Amino acid sequence: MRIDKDFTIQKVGVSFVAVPVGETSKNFHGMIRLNETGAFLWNKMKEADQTEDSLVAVLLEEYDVDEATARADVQKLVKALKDGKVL
Amino acid sequence: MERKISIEEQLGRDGYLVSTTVGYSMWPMLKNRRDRVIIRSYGEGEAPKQNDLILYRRRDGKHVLHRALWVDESCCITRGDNTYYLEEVKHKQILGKVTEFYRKDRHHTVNSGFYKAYVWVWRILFPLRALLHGLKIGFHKLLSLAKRAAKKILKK
Repeated sequence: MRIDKDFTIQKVGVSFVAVPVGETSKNFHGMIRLNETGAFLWNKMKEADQTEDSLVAVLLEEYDVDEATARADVQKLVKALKDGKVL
Repeated sequence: MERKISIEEQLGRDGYLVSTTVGYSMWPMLKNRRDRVIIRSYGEGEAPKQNDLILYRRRDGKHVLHRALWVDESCCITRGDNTYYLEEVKHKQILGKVTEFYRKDRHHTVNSGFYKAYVWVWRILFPLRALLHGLKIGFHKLLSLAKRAAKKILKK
């Protein structure tokens, strides 16, 4: 899974917001609110192709969470991005 | 992902909106589909001020981001930094104002000295810019007339 569409992320207060730029902005209108974990995973998916397992692994490395929580967070985000046609 | 909500709903819910700018009316400050703005609602009792970059909704439903040049109790007169027509906007049409923006990846706030200087210089230059714009339009019209005349002559 990789985010290959053109988005940028801005921090607004404690939230992170992804907005489309360039060609992507012609077909995707709006903004996507992310929390810190979501923004972290988003950036990982922008940098390289990922699997659910690889995303869980980077979350476990970065944050002090158990695997079940990490996996649930990853699945929730991936589903949301697929529903929103970002992935 | 949460359901899609409107610009008005987003501003009402979180008090801010982030958007990519579309169009050329705010050049050179903002470039089409490259730069982003953070728009915040006006606070309770807060009113638009001169030079605020305001987001408003026209009667046809279109959302526009232009600069407030003159402001009174009931309305503003706006113009894009790259346009030459004025527009009257009632306060009730105004949804918020830009407080921060990104040009490419560089962050700016509207309180910075750099931004205030840009606004001041760009407004001062308006008469010259309008003159050059008028000359450019006049030149293109003349050129178009000359081409049509040349075509007619050649047909004969």
